[in-house]
Amino acid sequence: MVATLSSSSPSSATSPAGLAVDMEDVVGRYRGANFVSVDHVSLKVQRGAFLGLLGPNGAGKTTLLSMLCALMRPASGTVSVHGLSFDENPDSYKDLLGFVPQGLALYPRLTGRENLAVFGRMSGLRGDLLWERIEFALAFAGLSEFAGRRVGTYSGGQQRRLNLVTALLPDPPVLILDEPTVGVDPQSRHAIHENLRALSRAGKTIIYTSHYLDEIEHLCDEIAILDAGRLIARGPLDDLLARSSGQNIELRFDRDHVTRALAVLQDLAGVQEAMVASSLVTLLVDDAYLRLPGVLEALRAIAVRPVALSIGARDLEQVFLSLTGTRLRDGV
Amino acid sequence: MRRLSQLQAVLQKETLGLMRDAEALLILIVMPAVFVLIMSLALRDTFHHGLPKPMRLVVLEQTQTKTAARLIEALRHDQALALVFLPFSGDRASRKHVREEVRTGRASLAIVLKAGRGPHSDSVLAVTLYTNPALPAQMRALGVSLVRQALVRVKAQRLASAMRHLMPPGAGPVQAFADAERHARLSLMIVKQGLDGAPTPTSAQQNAPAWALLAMFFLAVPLSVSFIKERQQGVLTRLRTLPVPSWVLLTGKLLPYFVINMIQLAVVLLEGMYLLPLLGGGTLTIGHAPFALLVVAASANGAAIAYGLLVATFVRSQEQATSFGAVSVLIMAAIGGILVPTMVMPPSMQRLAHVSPMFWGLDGFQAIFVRGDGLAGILPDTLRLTAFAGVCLVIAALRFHRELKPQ
Repeated sequence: MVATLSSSSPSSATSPAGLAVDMEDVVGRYRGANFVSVDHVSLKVQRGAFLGLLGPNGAGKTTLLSMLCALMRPASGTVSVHGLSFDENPDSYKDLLGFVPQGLALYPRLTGRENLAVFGRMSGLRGDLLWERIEFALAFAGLSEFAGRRVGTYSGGQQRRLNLVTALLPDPPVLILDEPTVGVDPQSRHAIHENLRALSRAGKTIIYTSHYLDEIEHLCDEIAILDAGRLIARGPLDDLLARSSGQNIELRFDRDHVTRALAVLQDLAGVQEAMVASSLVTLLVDDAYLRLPGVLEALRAIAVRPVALSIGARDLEQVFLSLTGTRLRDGV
Repeated sequence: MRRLSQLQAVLQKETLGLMRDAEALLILIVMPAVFVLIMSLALRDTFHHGLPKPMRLVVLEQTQTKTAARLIEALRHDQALALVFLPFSGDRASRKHVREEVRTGRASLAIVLKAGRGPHSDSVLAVTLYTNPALPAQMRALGVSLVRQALVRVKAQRLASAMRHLMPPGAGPVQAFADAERHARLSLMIVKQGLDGAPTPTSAQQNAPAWALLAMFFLAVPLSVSFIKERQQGVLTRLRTLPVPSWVLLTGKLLPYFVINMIQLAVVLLEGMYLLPLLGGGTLTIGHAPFALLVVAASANGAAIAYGLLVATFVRSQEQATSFGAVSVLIMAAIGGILVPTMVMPPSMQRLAHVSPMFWGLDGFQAIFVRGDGLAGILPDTLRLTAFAGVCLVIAALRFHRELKPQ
């Protein structure tokens, strides 16, 4: 990235002290729905924090972000950004937020620069400042040399990067990103991660949702997990990992033995979850030291020998699954 | 300043988006022109020689004489005419009523039967025939000919009857015929209602404004599709998070389409004036009231755009936009005399035509092109179009504002 982040605007010059986002006992219900999508959630985010918001499909992440971005009105509870609620001053409230939607919210027939000009003006920028911010955003996304090309001809990664920097144009203090790396190649994903780290270092408050748990693990300094509309865990990654009691036992088998091994292992005492990925079976157990002899005994009984075996601490994905379960979620 | 800059942004993206969609521009501007060309040439002979049946003939009978009754009877037996009788409500008011029926095209022809003066007033009948100037020349000639034919028939009956009574035994046939002819005197005066020298309508004068109007209203389809795309692409969600009011988004979206419609109309009119005559499709004369023409064009355009916007705020998918938008516009066109001229419709359908905004637009254009009217003549149609546009705009703006607000 050749560009450096602007520190000239009042928003980015603001001291990162105090709350950036304060959602208090918020309930979200879609019109006509007979259930709540967000159920009495309170979420406070400090200025300058990088919060990863996790949850299975239908957990209420999008609803929560919609209420934060003033796309949806909470059925009850209060939402404020930098101490300002939407009803106090809608335009000023929106000026505080930069939203990167999951879809590519761009005009494909317009060039990259034209897209930025349109959204920049709609954000209230004009004159020299508008063009300065456009050139900054293009450089930040590594798109300067493609700025005159229509967005419809961009690669998926280029479109994603433009989608991201469009939200940066007015230099808002709070960025909300809804799965911004869906469907991009590793290089573009890496570039987006670098952009986000730079923004975080510059003092932006970032709220980030993703289904790629490794992203959250590597980018965010705080994680919140939602399930069934409720906030079920919140804290720094290390705290969440430490709070999660249990370990995992990983066993690799010949492919022909995986099914038989899984059949006996998943019902053993102390095994909370058994997961299979190709020839690797991962058992989430309460205490690996205590449960390992039983595991080996069961395998001996069916004459199946693992080709590799390891014991380890749980990673974020395992913590996430132990908290939310492995049941498929097809809700929205 | 902020709102102006935002409006500029919306205008910019709509204009650039449209200009870079070659197919859409082709549909919006070139296709109507091609359509007018094809339809004007294809329907040229229909407009010159067509025999729509029956022609509506309004009759104002003031004499209550046997001769008038015979004439009406003769006309009634003609399958090419549909007689409509007006009650007599005073000489002046009735004639005004007759003229209005013909001028507005509700009737193709009208006759006023008045007693003649003289010693044999029962036999002397003054017939005044009014014709609608918007009637194609051949149809007008046919109408006049049918009335003449009925008069000749009555006159022949009178002659035969008179000769039987007047020819005394031994009287010379020449004297008897002369007497009979004197007693059976009928006169016919033909009045072409409207301005003297008004141009004869051509296929181009029906087709050019008609198809231009259809193309204007068809803009509902691309306009609503552009709304749907913004919803589907997530752009509308991004816009909802920006501090931009709904009226800015709406105005910026509508203006480019308004301009495109005006360009499209100008292309069609120029085509009718200069290209169609070269190809034998008749000439489009556009009257002598350019400001009135601009007013009709702007109000019809406004109504079309507002309708498109209304459709856009109700449909939820591109399929709905294309099917509902197109079908509703075609229904309005069919009712409003765009696809089939109202003059060939039965009276009930002619009355129904008056509910279609496209009829108001077409009638406004025809008032200028054919009847030679100015601002006063187009006022009723313009007011209807403007009111229609206003209602559509208010409903659409409220719905769009609601969509942008936090749900």
